[in-house]
Amino acid sequence: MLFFSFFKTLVDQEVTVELKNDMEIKGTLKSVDQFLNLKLDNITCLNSAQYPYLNAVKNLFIRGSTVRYVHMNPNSVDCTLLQDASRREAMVQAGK
Amino acid sequence: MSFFGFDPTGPPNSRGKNGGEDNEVYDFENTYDGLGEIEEDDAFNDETFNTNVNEIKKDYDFGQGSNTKQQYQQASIPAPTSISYAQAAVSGPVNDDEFMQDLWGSSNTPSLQQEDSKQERKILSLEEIEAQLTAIDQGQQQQQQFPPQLYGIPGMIPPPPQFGGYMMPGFMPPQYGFPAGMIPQQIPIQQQQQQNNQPPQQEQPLPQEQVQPQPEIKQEAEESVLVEVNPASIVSPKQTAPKPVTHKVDLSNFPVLGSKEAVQQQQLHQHQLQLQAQLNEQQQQQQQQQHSHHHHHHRQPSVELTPEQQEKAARRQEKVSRIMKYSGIMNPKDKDFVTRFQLSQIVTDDPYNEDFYAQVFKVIHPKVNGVPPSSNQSGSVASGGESQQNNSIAQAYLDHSGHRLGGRYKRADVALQRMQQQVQKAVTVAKERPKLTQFAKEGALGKISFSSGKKPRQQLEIISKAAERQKEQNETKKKEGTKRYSKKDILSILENIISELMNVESESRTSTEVDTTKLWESLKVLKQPSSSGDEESEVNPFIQCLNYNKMLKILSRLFKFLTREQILTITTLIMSNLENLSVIKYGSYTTYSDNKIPEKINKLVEAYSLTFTKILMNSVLDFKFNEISGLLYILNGHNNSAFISTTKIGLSILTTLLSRAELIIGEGQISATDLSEWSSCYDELFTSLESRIAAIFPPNFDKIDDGSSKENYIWQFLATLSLGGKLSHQRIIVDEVRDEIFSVMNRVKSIDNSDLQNLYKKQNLLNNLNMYLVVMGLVADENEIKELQQ
Repeated sequence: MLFFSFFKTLVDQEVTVELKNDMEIKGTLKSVDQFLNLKLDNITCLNSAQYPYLNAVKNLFIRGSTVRYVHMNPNSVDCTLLQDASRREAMVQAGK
Repeated sequence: MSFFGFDPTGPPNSRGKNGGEDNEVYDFENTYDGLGEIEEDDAFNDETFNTNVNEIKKDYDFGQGSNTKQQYQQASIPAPTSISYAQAAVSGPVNDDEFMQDLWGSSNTPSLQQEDSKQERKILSLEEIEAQLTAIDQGQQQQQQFPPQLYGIPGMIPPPPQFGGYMMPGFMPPQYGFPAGMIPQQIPIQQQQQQNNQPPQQEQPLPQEQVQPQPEIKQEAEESVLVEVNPASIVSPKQTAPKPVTHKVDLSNFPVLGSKEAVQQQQLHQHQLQLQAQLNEQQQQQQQQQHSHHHHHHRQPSVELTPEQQEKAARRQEKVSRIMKYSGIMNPKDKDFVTRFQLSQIVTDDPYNEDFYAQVFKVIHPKVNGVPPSSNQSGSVASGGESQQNNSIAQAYLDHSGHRLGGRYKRADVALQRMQQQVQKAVTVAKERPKLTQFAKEGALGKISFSSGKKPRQQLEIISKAAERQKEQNETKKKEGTKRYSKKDILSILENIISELMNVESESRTSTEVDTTKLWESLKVLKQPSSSGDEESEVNPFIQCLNYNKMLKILSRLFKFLTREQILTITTLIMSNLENLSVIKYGSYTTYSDNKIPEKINKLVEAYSLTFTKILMNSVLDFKFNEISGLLYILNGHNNSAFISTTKIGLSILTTLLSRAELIIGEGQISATDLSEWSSCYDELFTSLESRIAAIFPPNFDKIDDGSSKENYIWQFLATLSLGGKLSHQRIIVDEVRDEIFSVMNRVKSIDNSDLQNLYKKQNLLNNLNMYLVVMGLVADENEIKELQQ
């Protein structure tokens, strides 16, 4: 739930999603679910030379399991809070 | 031309025709004669001919072109050049029966219908057909191009399998029994089917026997115009429907001339009349659809639409049909179920624990998300009603899932309400659900472990409990002597502090009374007394923790939950252990041969001045005068004050204590004993500092302090020290730092007044220096130091 919780705070912000097939897609994060499936809007493919067909695509649904990285603006992350949140998550896990 | 699949073993006349050199004109009679004999004992004759075979004579109009359809073919296909489909058709099949059967299929229609159809059956000649054709105006023809399946034919059964091979492109198994108007969502599906069906059929190689009809059937859209000539469909409307305008021809009837169709036709017409009103609305749209589908096949260009419009409509229609492809697959109940299921995975009755980051983030950075803080605040005040909390979850769900419902004015409220109910339901269900993570099924060899969205299946189960216990045992063993803490121990203690702190914090959200005993115990302040100079690993763990940035960051949060006494205890501990702090221990330039403090320590010092110094300053405000003098006494007694004064943090601690004491003295409510105690304490401190005061200036101070920063901790300290001292003290101080004062004055003078860029430095230098000089009634300007004018 930590990452789900984390990504929820990135909604409506611009992120770059790097997929496991090396495709890099920049777009506005519209939605995320507990599987970390992502919905992107207004996308541009950063390496569209390799994937020209993406030029015609405006929005995407990305299955979470195909994501390698999500790049985001560091300003949109509260690191201290994230540390606390991960501690909390660890506490919950340990408590079970 | 083997495409037409004549049988090479067939009669020679039919074979020779594609030889190319064979230009002989075929006479139908030559090829046909003798082959048209009807086998009177054929069991399927009834269905094939729709009548008693005895009534079928040779003059049944095949004479003019083998069958009516062939006639339209000739009419519709531009002047055949070499060998037309029609010619091929004429000379095609050897066995008429076979052909007929292939064409019509073997229908299982009850004979009753056949009898009905007999009455309607009327053979039209080519002339009649053409007359009919021309009589139909164009607009009507376009109407006739509607996808046939749009007119549901009640009770019609799907075509028998053998139809599949040469099903007309336009021919669809009708969607039985529903008036099109009542099942709007099926239309796109049908449409889709049609789309799917078309291309393969067009390219499908035709089976050999189906020689004659194929070319015609392949004509797809052209035929949709010509369907009208179907005898049954033309004749019957005249009986059943007086107005030919309302008469739609169903393409599905086209290849099937049999009795069944005649009856269905009749039913269809009646039905169409009933449906006419319903369909009127849809016709427009369907017409467009039809255009889009047969656009390229149109022989007659559309009258109403320009090509661009058609193109546009076609594109739009294609898009719509693509989008609508799966619409209506799930009914509202299904959707509800899925939503609830998804929610039950996400929803939690304790969002602060499980959705900690997002919830707190929204509170801390309300604007970043663009979400009004008020809507989130309801969740942040955890004491608020549960329904309110659920509301926020539902709201968040709608917000974040990009749910369409959210944007639709009135419906949004309804959707939100329903979502709330679902959330409520999901929460209760989630609570009731047993929290099993493993399940041993009877007879199973292993255990089934569950995973959920919240708690994904763990790949590795690390046994931490046992290790922890072992560690505890080790700790208890060592307890006799002084315990040595490794870095790992300190870090785990630190983590424990943070966990306890977070527990306390989350507790404080729900209730005002918070139990902080566990937090206090976790600090281990009283665990192991130590004082400056002890071996590093044997120092009190809390002091060791203070060497980590992590600890400094939580200090302010931590101090919120501590009582005044606890803070005083901690401060006392710190004072007695100052030299055990890394910032002090390694923070003095004197310990380095090159007089340079390492970068790492400098960073820590930086962190200290941002956190620790401020917290100490705040805490000291609560301390009583005698407590402060006690702290100073401890500081001086346990540490080498001269050494501490050479560090930035040490100096600022001294400044904090001294200035606070001076402020309290200034208030004038200090008892004489306290004052004398203080002055003895001050004397002691001064004695240890005496003759080393100049050392508080780091080497190359003139180069470091060029006035670019407002940093003035050294002058601040000197000011405070002078303030507390008598005149004799002040003189000593001035004597010791005279060089530095003049060095500053020189720097001030070196900055020219015309150098506007550096003028601020000059001002900074003077301000800092004056902070100290003012205490002694002096003031410095850019030229000289003079007595302060009262």
